[in-house]
Amino acid sequence: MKPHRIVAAAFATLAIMVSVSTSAQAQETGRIKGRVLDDYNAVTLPGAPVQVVGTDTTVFTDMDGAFDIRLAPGTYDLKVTFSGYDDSISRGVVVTAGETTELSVILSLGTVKMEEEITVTAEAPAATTQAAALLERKKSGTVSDGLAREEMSANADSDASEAMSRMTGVSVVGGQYVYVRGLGERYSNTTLNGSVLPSTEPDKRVVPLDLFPTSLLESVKVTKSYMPDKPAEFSGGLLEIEPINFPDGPVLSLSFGGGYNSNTTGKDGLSYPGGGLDWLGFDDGRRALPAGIPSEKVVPASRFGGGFTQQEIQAFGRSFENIWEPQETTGKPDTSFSILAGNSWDKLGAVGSITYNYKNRFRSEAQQFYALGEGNTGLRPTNDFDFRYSTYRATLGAVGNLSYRFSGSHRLAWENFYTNSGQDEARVFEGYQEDKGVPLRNQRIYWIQESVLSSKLSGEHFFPSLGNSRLEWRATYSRARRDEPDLRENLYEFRPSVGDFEWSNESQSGFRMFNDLTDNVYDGAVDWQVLLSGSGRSTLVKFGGEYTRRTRNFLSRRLRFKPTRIRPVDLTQSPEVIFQEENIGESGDFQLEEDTRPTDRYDATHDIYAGYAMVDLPITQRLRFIGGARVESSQQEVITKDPFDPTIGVVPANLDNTDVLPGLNVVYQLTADQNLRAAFSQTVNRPEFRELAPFEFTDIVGGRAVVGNPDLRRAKIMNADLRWEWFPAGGAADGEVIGFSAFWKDFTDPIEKVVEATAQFRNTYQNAKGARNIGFELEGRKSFGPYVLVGLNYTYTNSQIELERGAAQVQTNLDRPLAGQSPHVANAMLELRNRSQDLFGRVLVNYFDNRIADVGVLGTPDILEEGRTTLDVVVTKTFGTWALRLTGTNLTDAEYLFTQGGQFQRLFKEGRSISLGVSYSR
Amino acid sequence: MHKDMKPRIQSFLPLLVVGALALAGCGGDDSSSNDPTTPTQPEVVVVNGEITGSETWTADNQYLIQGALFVREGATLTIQAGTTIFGDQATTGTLVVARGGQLIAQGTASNPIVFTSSAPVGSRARGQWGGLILNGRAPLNIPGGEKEGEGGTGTFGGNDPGDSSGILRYIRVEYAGIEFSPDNELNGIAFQGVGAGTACDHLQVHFNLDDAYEWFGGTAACKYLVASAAGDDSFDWTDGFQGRGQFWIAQQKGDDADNGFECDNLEGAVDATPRSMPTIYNVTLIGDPTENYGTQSARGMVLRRGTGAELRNFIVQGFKRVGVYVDQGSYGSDKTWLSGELTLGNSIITGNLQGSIDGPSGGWAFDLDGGDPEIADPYNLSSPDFMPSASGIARNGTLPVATPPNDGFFEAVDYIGGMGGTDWTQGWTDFSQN
Repeated sequence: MKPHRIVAAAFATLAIMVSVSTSAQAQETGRIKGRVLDDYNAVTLPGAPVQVVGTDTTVFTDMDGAFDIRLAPGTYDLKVTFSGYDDSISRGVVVTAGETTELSVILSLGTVKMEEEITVTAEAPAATTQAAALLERKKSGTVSDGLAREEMSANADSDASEAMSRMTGVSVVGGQYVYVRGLGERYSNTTLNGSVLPSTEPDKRVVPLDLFPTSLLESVKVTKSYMPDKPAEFSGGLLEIEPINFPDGPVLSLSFGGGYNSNTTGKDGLSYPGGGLDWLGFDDGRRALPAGIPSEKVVPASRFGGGFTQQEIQAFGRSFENIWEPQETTGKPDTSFSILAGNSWDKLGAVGSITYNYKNRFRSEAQQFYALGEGNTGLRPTNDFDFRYSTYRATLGAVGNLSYRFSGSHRLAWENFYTNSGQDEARVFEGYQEDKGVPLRNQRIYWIQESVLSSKLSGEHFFPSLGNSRLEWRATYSRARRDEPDLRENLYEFRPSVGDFEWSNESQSGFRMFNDLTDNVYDGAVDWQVLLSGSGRSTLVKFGGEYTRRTRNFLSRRLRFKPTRIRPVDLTQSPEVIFQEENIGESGDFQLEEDTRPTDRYDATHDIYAGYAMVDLPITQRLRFIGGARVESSQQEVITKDPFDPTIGVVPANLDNTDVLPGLNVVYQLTADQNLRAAFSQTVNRPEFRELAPFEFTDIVGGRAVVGNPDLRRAKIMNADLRWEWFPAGGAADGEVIGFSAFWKDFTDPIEKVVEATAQFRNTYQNAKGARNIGFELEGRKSFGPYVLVGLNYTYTNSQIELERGAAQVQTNLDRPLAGQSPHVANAMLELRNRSQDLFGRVLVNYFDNRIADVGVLGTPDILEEGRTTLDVVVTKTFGTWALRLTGTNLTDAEYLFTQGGQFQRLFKEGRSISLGVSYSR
Repeated sequence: MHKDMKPRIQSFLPLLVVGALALAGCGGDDSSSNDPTTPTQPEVVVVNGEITGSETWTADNQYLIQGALFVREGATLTIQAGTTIFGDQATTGTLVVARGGQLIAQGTASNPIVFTSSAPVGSRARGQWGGLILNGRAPLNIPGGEKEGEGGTGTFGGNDPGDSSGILRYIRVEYAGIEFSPDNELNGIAFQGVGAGTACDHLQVHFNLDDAYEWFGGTAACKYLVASAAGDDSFDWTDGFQGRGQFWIAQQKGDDADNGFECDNLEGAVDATPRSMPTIYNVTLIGDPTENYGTQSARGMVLRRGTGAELRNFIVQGFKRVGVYVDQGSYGSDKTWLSGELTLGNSIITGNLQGSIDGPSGGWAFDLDGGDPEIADPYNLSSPDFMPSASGIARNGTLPVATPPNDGFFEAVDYIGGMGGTDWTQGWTDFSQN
């Protein structure tokens, strides 16, 4: 289906769902909905009878421990009697016609406690509130931090990476990648709906989180200590993304917004004629490799056959669209739109959402490069460039979920998530390059389209007769694609003899590149858990297995126009004049030539077979042990091939390992609202495909080449965590918490990027001698009266990596902090609110300290990204079902400053952004 | 391994496709498979992958190299005189001798070994295949003493100045230098950490896209080299080259040419040690004064980035810009030039359009002359004659001729330039233009 058809179909489906949901519900009765939970570990209790006292109504909780009772308006008492637990009576539950009353029934283990009153709340559905995220954290077996939908919304964060930057111990590097406790993105793993995600990045495992609009998400969570029922391939954090949940009743929300950026909107920038669907984030085919270009390599005929005649090559060359040069334009405002609708009918639940946003950004950037000075001291500048970047990014995302409940004990769900982002970039840079000895001018236009699709079918089955056992399974298919069609680049060189810039015959000039990457993940998992509560304490025993297969195919083609004669046309002209049709071909001045390299294609697979067993065991009334072990057997294979002849240049690389990975967590309940946690685990970090493949590759022209290392081993990491947390009584609604955590990590054979000497420098990877990472986190969130809420978090990290000196390596420092790790990272949030006026305001401050952006070579110091403070302000005013929101982002417009040896290396500003949004929800 | 017929090759020649591994150890037996009924058509043997044993290529076959063909450590590839080897363009055919591998390629003046393009004669051009890459264990000035070759062509460098990569004699390498990675074309012959034990004489690199010859460190000693129509520099060194040279001739073609010599110590650290310090006698560098479009450079010699060298008996003639350029400032070679680590003497610098020498005053240049050596036909691209007249200053003794070291490598001479009264290029070189 064409992208716009998909969008149309999705809108139609949403419209139907909304119209159905608005006609729902008779108004005579009211409802009591709730869950029955174990007080000890917040495990939901299925099969528990909930009796409406004084009536003959008794319902049994379903597999989620949930119940739903329809009653005539009035006031009722609910009683729950369940084997092994004290009886519980909830008194005075008010039922109002047409309304739903929420109720949580918490059962304590058989003790001397008397019947106790249960709080009755009528808040929004629990899972979306920050309070619920906190309850989940409080009762969790692991060290984890979560952000719920309402909190992401209150912070006005538009994508998951922005949202996560507010979390304790998290910093976001390059706007896309999450560093948890100073550990690079390679030490994180991302799951959507519980399944590991494929990546759109050619050289990374993780997916860029700015692909995930927050309006499609229920919550994001960072689990910092490992448990055996989750993949063991992380050390910093497991980033769990949950798409929007099934609603309890009809929901509909709509929002629209517009924004202004001080660098962009109404300012001068660059652009070029693109495709008709660029505004949606899809290329309409205009940038595709022209239909006539053969699948064989475009080379002249060989005396041994093969190749193409000059006439054929001329036709190939003339089939490309003659558009090259960025043109001046004026910046557009940002726009955003989203719609969400859902309902539940008896056994069926459905929710769907579409979100769209469009962001235009202009940026000026200065870059300076250095080499070591004479006598091996000091730095001397070599290159000095001024860049102008203009980017246009459209993101379209959709969620469509269906759930069907066969009975209280069996449920099937089908959940689908899709996001697509198309970014168009026009770039020019100009400046002096020492090697050339003259000023250069470079122009590039570049389209990247990235998408993630995930479809999950899952089932939950509760078997009361099999010792209250619960079976969950899922089968997920996910696909990530990255399509970079028709990158176009030209280089002009200043010629003193001409007194002007002339087109230069270099490899990134007259150049067109087409890259295509597809990453597939097939994930199947079965978990079986038994709740043993007969002994007086509830012990949870859990077993499971998981199979994950990841496959990747990558193909690149590089073509360029090369001059065929000594003095071609006037080269000071624009590329559109130089490469006009009559100048291309046999009798012209230029001929197309293919520069695709023998290593421009690779296919890779990674299979992980995993099985685990764990228990959640009450040792005493206050002490809980959660732990077990997971066995992971991993088989990685990368095969590099000649793109045109799969029998040539075949370079395989393999890595197979089987590891037993224990995870042990202890929770000690100091008081009813304070926990002390300790965790210890062993996790692994495996090389990414590209890191293992022994071929040299340059992703983007001008970037440093990268070569993999087939001798890499997987790294093993020992993790220890300690956390004290206090959830002050009565502070749940505001998500109040005070916490202190400490962590210690020790790495064996960590995989680290190093720099090698070749004709030009290139990156490769090695197993370093070792690394360690220690630090602590502080966090607090507290309300002061009805009008003020304050949140603070701070993380200190100290890391050290010790590299092995490889013979060909030229990086300056062998002992240094991990790249990208800031010693200090902090967040502060101040909320001022007037509930009676429905007015909320938030001020958000984010700070990180200096971090290594790139390592120095041949005696030059490492390049540092200097610390930066950003300030955002959000004001929201609601009018019943309508809300108005004013957001100011990056209000201090702090400099992005990179330095080397104290001298500026790179400098730019992103500009201040102001946006205004209107939303409707009911 | 690769026994399959390549379907892409629709050949009108009888094709025999043999993987290099399958050939290993077979010696020269392949000639026996020649069909006696078609004795005039040589077999075309497709070679790819790697050579791990001993292998011989014979003159009665033609060879087509597909992809990078590696002569691995401990392996020996012997090529008979008169053998023609083609490099495949589509797969970037390239011959790589790994450290510890040996290439024994001994042509003769009447029967040279030719590495050339697989394009038909008439449509041959620069960059149609990879070239020749030799890796050795001689020293470099890179921290750690080793370096990785371009495009995964192996590690080179070490601490054996006397290392041998084999014998290269009477060889032409034509139309090579394909781009291996962005801005990274291959040299015609790359001497990467190659040691002095390698025998190396009578070589021509013709129409290469990048430098004709480049020395990355090492101690290689090469005589009787011709560099013609190189798309970049004719002779280039970096990474602490400490070799020797005598009787070198370069001729530029102005459609795309850079410098005659381009000489670095090390780009990122100009004072890295061991410093580039080769000893080179008797060189003729011919520029293209009328039409040098290729780049801004087009200088006879560029001495920079801390290089040292002892350069004697040179003729540098006809460059569009200056004859000899000694780069200055922190980026340059003025320190070595002033200290005497970089010297140029007994040389004729003449007919260069922007002057003879551009360098710091007081440098170590002596016995230079700006007169005409009266070279017979230096700018004729397709049939040049590089012989200076006997009566001209190159041979008549008006300018003192430096006597090279008596070390068994250098030959005693009584003339300036790469050629005296004997044209040693006769018979085995080729100056075809396409």
